[in-house]
Amino acid sequence: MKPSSTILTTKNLTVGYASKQVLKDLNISLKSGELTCLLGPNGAGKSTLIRTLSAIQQPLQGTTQFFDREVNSISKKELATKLSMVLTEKATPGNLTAYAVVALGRFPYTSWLGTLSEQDVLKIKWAMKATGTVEFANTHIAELSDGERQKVMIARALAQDTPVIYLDEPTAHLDLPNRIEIFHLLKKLAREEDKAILISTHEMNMALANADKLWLINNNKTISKGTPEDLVLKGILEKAFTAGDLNFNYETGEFQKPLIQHELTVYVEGPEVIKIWTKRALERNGYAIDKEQNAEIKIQITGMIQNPNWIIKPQKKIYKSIEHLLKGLNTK
Amino acid sequence: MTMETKRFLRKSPSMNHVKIIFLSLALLQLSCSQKSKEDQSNFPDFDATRDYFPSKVEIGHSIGFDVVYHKNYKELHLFRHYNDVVDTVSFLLVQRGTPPPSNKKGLSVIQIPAKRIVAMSTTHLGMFEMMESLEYVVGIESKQYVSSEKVKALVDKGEILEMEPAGALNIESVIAAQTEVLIGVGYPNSQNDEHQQLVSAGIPVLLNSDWQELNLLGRAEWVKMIAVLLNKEEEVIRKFNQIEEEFNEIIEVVAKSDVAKPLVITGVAMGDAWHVSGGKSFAFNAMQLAKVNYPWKGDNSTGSLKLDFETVYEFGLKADFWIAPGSARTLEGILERDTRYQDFLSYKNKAIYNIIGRDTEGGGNDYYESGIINPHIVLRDIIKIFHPALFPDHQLVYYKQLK
Amino acid sequence: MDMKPNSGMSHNGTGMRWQPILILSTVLIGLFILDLLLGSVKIPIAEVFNTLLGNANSNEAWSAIILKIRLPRAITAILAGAALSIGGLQMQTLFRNPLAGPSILGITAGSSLGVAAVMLVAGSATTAFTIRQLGLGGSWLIIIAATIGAALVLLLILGISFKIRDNVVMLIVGIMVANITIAIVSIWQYFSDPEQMQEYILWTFGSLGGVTNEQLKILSLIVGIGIVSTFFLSKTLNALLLGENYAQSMGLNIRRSRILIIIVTSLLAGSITGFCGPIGFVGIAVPHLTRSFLNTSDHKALIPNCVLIGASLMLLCDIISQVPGSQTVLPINAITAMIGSPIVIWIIVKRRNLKASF
Repeated sequence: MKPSSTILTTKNLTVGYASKQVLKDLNISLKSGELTCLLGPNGAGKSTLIRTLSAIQQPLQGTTQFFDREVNSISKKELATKLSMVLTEKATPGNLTAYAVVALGRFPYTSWLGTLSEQDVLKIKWAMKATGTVEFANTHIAELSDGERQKVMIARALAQDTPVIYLDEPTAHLDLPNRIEIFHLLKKLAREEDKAILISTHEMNMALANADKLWLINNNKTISKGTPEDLVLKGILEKAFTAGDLNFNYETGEFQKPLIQHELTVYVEGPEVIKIWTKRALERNGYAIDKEQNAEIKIQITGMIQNPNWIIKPQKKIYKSIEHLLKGLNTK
Repeated sequence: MTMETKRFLRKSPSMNHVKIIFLSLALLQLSCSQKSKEDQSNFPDFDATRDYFPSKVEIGHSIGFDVVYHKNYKELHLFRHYNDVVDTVSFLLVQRGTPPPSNKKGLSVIQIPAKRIVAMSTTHLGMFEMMESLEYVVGIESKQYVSSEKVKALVDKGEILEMEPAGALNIESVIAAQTEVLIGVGYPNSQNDEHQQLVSAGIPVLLNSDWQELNLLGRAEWVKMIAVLLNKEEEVIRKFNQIEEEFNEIIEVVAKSDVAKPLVITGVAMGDAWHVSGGKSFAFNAMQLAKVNYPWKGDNSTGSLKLDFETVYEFGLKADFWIAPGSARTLEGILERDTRYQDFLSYKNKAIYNIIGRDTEGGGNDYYESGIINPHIVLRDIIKIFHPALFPDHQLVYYKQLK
Repeated sequence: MDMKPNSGMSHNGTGMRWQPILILSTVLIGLFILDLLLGSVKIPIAEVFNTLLGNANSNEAWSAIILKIRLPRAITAILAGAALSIGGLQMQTLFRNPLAGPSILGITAGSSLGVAAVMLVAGSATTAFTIRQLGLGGSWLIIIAATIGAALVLLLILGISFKIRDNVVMLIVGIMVANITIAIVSIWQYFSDPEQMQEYILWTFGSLGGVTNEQLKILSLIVGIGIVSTFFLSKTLNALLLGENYAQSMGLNIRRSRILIIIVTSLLAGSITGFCGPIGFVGIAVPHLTRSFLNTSDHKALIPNCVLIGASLMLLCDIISQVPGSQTVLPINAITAMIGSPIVIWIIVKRRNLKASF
C-alpha cells in the first residue's frame, strides 16, 4: 500500500465570524488514503470549518496549508482540480439526468463550451460505476430517492477527479441502510483511490465505526484529533458529548441515560450474544447490572441461541422469552 | 382649454373643506337675505305683462343647447347626446329685479344680465371678446394658454383673476371673487367634485360642450349662449348673421367651381395605431365643404376612426394632402416620428398642413379662441389649402404649411 | 457496462440535438411567412413572394407595405422574442427562480423612467417643445432615453451585486428599484397633460411596428451580440444549475459570472425595451416552454431552442395583434400577456412538481 501523505495541515487556525469565534487553536491535518470524520453536535461549527478549509470563508487567525500552499492563495480554478465537495443542500435541478449531473463534475477540465472529451466520459463512467449509480444514468434527478440522489452527487464529486473530497453532512436526510452504504462507499474510495476524504457529521455511531481519524469538537471550541478508539479510551469522547447526565457505555460504545427504577441489582451469565441482549432489556427496564456474582438476583441463560431459557436462580423459575422474563421479574 | 379638460377628466379630491364651508355659509347668508326680497311684493318695479326680452335668439346649428323665452326669464337647456338619448340640464335666467317663476322650483337660477362671470376655457374668451364684454369676466383658468392680448393685459392689471394657475381649481378664489356663474368645460351632466362644491356654495356651473358640435357654425353659435347671459341678443343676432352670410357665400363659391377633388388623409400614427377623423366628425365635416376625396367619408364615427398603420399608409402614399398630423410642426418633425413618411406624396410635395398658424409659446392655440367665432376664416383657410386659386388673396390664418 | 444516455445531455457531450431545431426552425419560417402574408390590406400571396424575391410589383403601394411595414415588423418580432426569451432563461438560472423574467432586476423599469422623463418632463408642454426644437426628436430620443434609464439601473444593480453575496437579496433589490421607478413615473403622470400621458401610456403598450430599417440594423447587431454571448455562457449557466455553492466548488468565479450574466441580460432586455417599449410575459413563459419541450436543463440545448421558440411565439402574438381581416390593431403587450399566462399555468399544472422540471 502506498504510504499516505499529509495533504492538509492547519496551524493555530481559528475560524468564525467577525462577531464570534466558532472554533479555535486548531492544529489538524488530513492524510491521503484516510477517511477523516469531523464529529460534533449541530451548531458546533462544522460547516464553518469546512468553508474555511475550502477557502470559501476567511479564517480569523492561523493558516491552512493545502499541498504545501496556503489555501487562500490558490486560485479557485486550480483548487477545483484538487478539492471537490458534497453539500447537504437539496437544490438540484430536477430536469437533469444523473449522467448530466455527474458530467458537471468535469467542469474544471472541459473546454470553454463544456464539450466532454473521451477522457471526460471515461471518468464519468468510472465515477458512476464506483458509486453504483449506473442504472439510473438516464433517470431525471427528481425521480430518484434521497439516497440515490446523494450517491449521484458523490459520483459528481468523484468525476471531478480530485485527491481531496469534503462532504458536509452527506447522510443528513438518509435512512439507516443508505447511511451505512455511503460511509462504506467513502471508506472504500479513500482506501482504493488513495484520496483524503473528510466527512462532517453528528452521527457518532457512523463516525466511530468508519473513521480512520476523528476530529472531535470539544466543549471549549477546540478539536481533539486521533483514532476513534484512542479518543474513546482516553475519555475525550465522553467529555465532548456530555451535556447533562449522560453516561458513556464503554462496552457498547453508546451514550446512555439510565433510568434505574429498582433497588435490586441483577447478575447475568450465559452465552455472550444472549447475555448482551438480556442485559439491554434489563437496563431498559430500570435494573442495574451487577458485575459481581453476589447480586440479589441472578439470571442463568441456557440452551441454544434460537431457543434459550432464562432461569432466575434462587427461585429456579424458567422463562422462554425475554418478555416473560421481565414480567416474571416485575412480579417479584 | 387643456388644463380644464384635464381637470374635467380627473376628479380631484378637494382640501380645506372647512374654509369653503365658512365661505359658503357667508354667501348663503347673503343670498338668503336676497331671497327674502323675492316675494312678489318685494319687486316694486316688476311689470308682469311686459316682455323683457324683445330680441330673441334662435338656435339653428348647435345641437348642444337651446333657449326658451318667457316674459321675464329665459330657460337655458344644455344637452348631452348619448347616441340616440339626450340628457338635459336646465337653468333659469331671471331678469334682475323680477321674481323667478313659482312653477319651476328646483332649477338653478342665474340673475341676468350676469355681471361677474368666470370663464374656464379659451373658447369662451373668443366669444366674450366678440361681444365686447370682457368687462364682465372676473376670472379665467390660467393666462398660460390665452392668445388674446386684451385678455392677457386684463390679467396683468388684476382685473381678471387666474382661477386654476397650478392645475387645481382654486374654489376659494372663485367664491371670493363674488362669481355669479362659472362657465366650465365638460358634459352638462358631469358630476365633477369641484363643480359640486361651487354649486353648494350657491354658484351655478354651466358646462359648455361646444367641442361636441359637429360643424363650424354649430360651434360658433355658442356665442349666443354668452349673449343670452348678458342680455345682448340684438347684437349677437346681427353679428352672427353676418358671419353666417359670409360663410354661406364661401360655400357657394366652392360648390359652383369645377375643381378636382384631391385625396386627403388626417391624423398621424401613434404606436401601431393610426387614428383618422371619422366620416361624421367635426374635422371631416369642415373639410367636406371644400370638396375633397376622403377614403373614409362613408364611415359613421363622429370622433376618430381607429385604424392600423398599414391601412392608412396605403392611402398616405398617394394622398395629395395631409392635414393635422398630430403635433408635428415641421417636415423634419414628421420624419422624426417615422422615416417611412418620406415616401408620402404629400411629404414630397410639401403639402402637409397643421393647425399651428396662431399657436402661442405658452402652449395655447388661437384656433381654440378666436377661431371658434371665426368659422368663415377657418373655412377660407381650409379651401385655400386645397384649392388656392379660389381665394387668391387669402393668406392662411389658423392653418400653416409644414416646412 | 454500456451506458446510452439519451436525455439531459447527449453522449458526445455537445448537448445539442438536431431534431428539435429542425422542427422549430420550420415552425419559425412558417410563422414568419404568415406574418408577412396577413395584414389589414389584402395583398395576393403571389405578390408577397414577388416582392420578397426583389421583383418589381404592379402595385407600388403593396411593395412599400411589404418591405417597409410588414418585413421590419416581422424581423423585430423575431428579435424581440429571441432576446427576451434568453434574457428570461438566464435570470431564471442565475436566481434559481421559476418566476424570474428579463425585467426582474428593474432594467425595464429603468427604461420606463428614462422614457417618462422625456415624455412627461415636469408636465409642461413648453419643455417638450424645446426638446424637439433642439433637433433631438422622435424615436431616437426615446431610444436613447430608454437606454440611459436602463443603464443607470444596471449600474446601480451591479454596484450592489459587488457588496451582496446572496442572490435572494439581489432579487429583492431589483424588485424594489423597479417599484421606485414606477412610483416616480406615476408622480410625473399625475402632473402631466392628457396628451403627454396618452403618449406615455401608448409607449407602455409596446409596439413592434415602430422600428425602421436603419434602427433594425442596430437592434439586430445588439441582439446578435447578446445571443452569441449567452451561448458562450452555456457552461457557466450549467454550473449554476447546481447552485452557487457547488458552482464555486467547481472553480466558477461567482462574482464575475453574475456580472457577465446581468450585463448580457440587460443588453438584451434593455435594447428591446428601448426600441419596442416594455413587452412582458414572453421572457418568463418561453424558457419554461422550452424546458418542457426538450425535457432538459442543459443550456447548450436550451439557448438555441429558446431563441427559436421565443421568436415563433412573438410572431404568433404579432399576427394575433394585427387582427387579420380587420382594420384594427391590438396592443402587443395585451396579447403576450393573454398568451403567456396560460402557458405558464398549463406548464405548472401539467408538471405538478415545478422543482422537478426546473
